[in-house]
Amino acid sequence: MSDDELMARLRRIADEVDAPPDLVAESARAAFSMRRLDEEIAELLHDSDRSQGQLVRGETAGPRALSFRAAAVSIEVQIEVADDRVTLSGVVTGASGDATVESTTEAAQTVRIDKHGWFRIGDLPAGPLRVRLTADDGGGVTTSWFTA
Amino acid sequence: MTVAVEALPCAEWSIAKGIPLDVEPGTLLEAARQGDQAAWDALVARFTGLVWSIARSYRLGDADAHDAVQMTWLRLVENLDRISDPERLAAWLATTARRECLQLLRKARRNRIDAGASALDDLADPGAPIDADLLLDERDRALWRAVASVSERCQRLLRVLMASPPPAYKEVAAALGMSVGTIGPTRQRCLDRLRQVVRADVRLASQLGGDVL
Repeated sequence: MSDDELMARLRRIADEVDAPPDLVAESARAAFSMRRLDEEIAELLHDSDRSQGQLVRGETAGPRALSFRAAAVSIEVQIEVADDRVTLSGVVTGASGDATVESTTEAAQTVRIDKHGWFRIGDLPAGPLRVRLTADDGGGVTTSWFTA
Repeated sequence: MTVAVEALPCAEWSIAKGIPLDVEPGTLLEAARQGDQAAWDALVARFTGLVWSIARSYRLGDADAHDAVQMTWLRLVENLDRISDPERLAAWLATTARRECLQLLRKARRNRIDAGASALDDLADPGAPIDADLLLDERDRALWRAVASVSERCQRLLRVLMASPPPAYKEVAAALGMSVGTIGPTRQRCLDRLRQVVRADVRLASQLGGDVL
């Protein structure tokens, strides 16, 4: 059997035993509905998971912290996970108004950003999330997606 | 069937799978930019096999593999207007999928650390093994088990190469952070290793000898 034949046989087996589940293709198609035109994206600037050194036994990593940045706005988010539910605590610089957390599986949740720039939203699903800021003057900034 | 299928160009492969996609990915991408959901669905149909195979190659279990695939497509939605070279879309998806997989592996590691696992547990495979018992053909089962005995690096490469439709080497390279030139020689070495595993095992050799060696 040539390499190509062997590879094709392996591919056939993988198709049979480990093809992408329907649900995976379905959520990939549904991703398109999350498109948001004409809204500024706050890009991920820093992820504490990426910069942590090697932890050893007994040490804990502490909550994961992400920083996002758009032209005039920065958003820091701290992620806590308990029993597969997620709580986000955030602090916003450069904008005031509402903070909304969107997931791909559940209804979005909105809270008012307090006068110090803080917001906190709990009972969110694990999986992809993003934060959207809606300023009082109507402008919007959305973070790129992250998985809690 | 084997050689013929391997040689099919992507579009014909899609037709063989029942999806009439003789349209270039660049054209689909442009239509998706204009808001065309059907064009998006066609992109998903064409590349989900690749992205899924990448997630599996990093040994993500079902839930994390699902998240990795979904995140990859969400990133494409985010960057739809910023992909400068539509010809490189598949490689872009592969690079993005790799990044998402590495992020999910970091998360899995942190969760184990937070749960008080030791540094040794830290190295454990987070993914679930694929159930080879689903395979009806005994020789397929044996071959699938043999794959699990080659090095992790080889398993990873082979799993990406198993994507349907067959990925181009530049996509495989992007998925694994390897240079394109090393894919061919590494593939050859890994398939040779697979044959050695079969040869070294009397039972496997009697089951698969004529097929694989």
